[in-house]
Amino acid sequence: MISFFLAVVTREWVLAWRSRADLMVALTFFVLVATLFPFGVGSDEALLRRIAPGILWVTALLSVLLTLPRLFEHDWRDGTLEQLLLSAEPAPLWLAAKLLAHWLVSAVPLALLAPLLALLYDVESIVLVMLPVTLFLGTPMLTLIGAVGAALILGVRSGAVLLALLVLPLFVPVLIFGADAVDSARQGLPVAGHLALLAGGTLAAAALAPWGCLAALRLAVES
Amino acid sequence: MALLEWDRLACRRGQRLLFHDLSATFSGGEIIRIAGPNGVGKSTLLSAVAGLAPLEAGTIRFQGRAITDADDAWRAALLYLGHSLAAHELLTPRENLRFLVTLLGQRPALAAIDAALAEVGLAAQRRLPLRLLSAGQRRRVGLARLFFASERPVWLLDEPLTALDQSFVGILTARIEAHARKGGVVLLTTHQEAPFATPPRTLDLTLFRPQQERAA
Amino acid sequence: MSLAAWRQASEAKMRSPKSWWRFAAPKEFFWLTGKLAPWFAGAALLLFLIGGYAAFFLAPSDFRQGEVYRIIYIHVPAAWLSMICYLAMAFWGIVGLTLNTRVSFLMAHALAPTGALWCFVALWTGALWGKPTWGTYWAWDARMTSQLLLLFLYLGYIALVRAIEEPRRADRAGAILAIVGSINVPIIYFSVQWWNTLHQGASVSLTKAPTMATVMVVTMLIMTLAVWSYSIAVVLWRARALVLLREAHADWARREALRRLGGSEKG
Repeated sequence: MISFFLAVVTREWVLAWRSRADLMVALTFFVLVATLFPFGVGSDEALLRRIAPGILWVTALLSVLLTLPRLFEHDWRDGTLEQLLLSAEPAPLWLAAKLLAHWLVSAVPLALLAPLLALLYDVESIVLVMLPVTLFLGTPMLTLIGAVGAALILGVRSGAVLLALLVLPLFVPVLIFGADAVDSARQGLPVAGHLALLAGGTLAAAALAPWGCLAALRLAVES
Repeated sequence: MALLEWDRLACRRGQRLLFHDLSATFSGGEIIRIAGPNGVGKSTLLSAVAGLAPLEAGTIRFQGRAITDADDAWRAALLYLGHSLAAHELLTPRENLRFLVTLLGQRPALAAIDAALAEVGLAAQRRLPLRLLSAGQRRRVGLARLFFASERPVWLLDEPLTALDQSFVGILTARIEAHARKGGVVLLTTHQEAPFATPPRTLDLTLFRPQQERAA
Repeated sequence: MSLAAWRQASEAKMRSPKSWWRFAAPKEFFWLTGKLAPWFAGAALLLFLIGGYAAFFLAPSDFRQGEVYRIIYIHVPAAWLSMICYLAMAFWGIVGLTLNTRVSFLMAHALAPTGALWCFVALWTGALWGKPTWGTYWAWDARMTSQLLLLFLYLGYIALVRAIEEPRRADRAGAILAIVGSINVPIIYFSVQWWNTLHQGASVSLTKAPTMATVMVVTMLIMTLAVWSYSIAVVLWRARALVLLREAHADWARREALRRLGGSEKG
């Protein structure tokens, strides 16, 4: 089982590496939009410092959204998804492998890049720490929920736009707790509760989302 | 005892009923060619038998036992080669074949992978990304799986001969015949003439099309 | 009993002419809803008349808000129904996925526009109530924000089902989405509520209903029942139309459709 899991993860990584230009798009988007906001709201330092957690969280969230169609699109199109579904190995195993690989390749770079962007907003050092921490804890949940959406829209016209409509309302709770954790830390308030909720939410999503995701993938393969 | 039985299978595509009341039995050692014009439902039938598409009606029995949704034993007993390649153009034939065989539940040695690729004439190209290969070469990567699937009695092959040169058509039919001789059942759809030693049994899907009757 | 066995037993019941399960068949469902819908429509009309009269003339005016507060007699029922419709959608989705009955999915599709409508009504009435009462059309309070997100969930469902051409896939994809959404609705509600208490500026709270006299409570109840009856009637009628569309290949459906369109049965 472990070697199968690793085989799937390795394949995803190799493919990500060989199409690394595509991955840069999401990162570039993240950087661009984060630099866009000050042009819209003015460069008042106090204001930027206050809105930085929220802005950066929203931008990271949108960047994750951008990467979601990549999850299953190619495998669905070239027939690999059929073979995965027919495989004797348990489906949650290869799904977990794909999602883990995707998260490592698409979301973790965002979490690592976020502190750098936060410097543009002249944030306090606690924010520089809390921002990547909350993103690390929250982006798995975004990936899990987003995977269900990505599976539902396979082959559907205007799929990517529809994905945003389907998935963004479901992202709101993660956004609320993630951004507020950073903000609370900034104000010196306790954040243990937020982090626990984020972690707990990710575990709950890990338990429930695979059902919806696999059901949607099987539907996509039928047509 | 029949290896595979179909009992009044029916399939629908959208609103259209493609075929119904399709019953047949297949024993080990048979090669069956599913025939019919485009759109009659050959691919849908194979997908449905593989469990990838839903059956509107009917039961499939394997070794006397009716198969249910999410039937692990059935999945482990069949090999399904669909229309699509199931290979990524950024990966090499070696990487693609190795992954596909892993999906079959095996841990093949590199030598075995390379041997299979050599059998389908891809020895020289085994480390080139698929996007540099021709359509026929890409198809052969998927077909190389047949060399690892002798343990699976039921083979469902959808248009396996597409884009293949004559020489490889010969290799493929030889492999199929070898599998049948060992007791397997091979169901395939094809538009082309295949040089089987004995002509395969034909299952004409047009016989199971609904007449233009409306449901009551 | 395993799922497959239970499903087989249910399918047997659906074929039996005496069982309630027979209404899972499109034709029987069409007949039943045709009989039921007019009753609910009539009840809705009656309840709206009574409730409307009570809301405008019987319920006392609020000593702080004057007459404007009366809008809650449509605002609150609309909000409740928007939630109920979503849960019903998820319910029918679950039924459809487990029992494999087409009609269940059609009920879910029929519920979506009505649920979205009530969301919309709740949002508008909330805004219209907010402006004269608290000076703003929109305050990011917990309930209204959750209501807005619920509207997006409805729109997402409708958009997904319409975007998928294959009916079987559209049905099931919608069901999956509705189920995932319904799990999230309480989560969204509580997280928004929590968010709201943090960032609350002026205490604008549309959730705090004025302490209610009995007349007000009864009026609210009547209006809720009115909205509920109306929704049932409309959803059943819509479901009937969907059944005719989906079963267009069947004789009985063609006859019914032609009858309604005023044509004659083609020989």
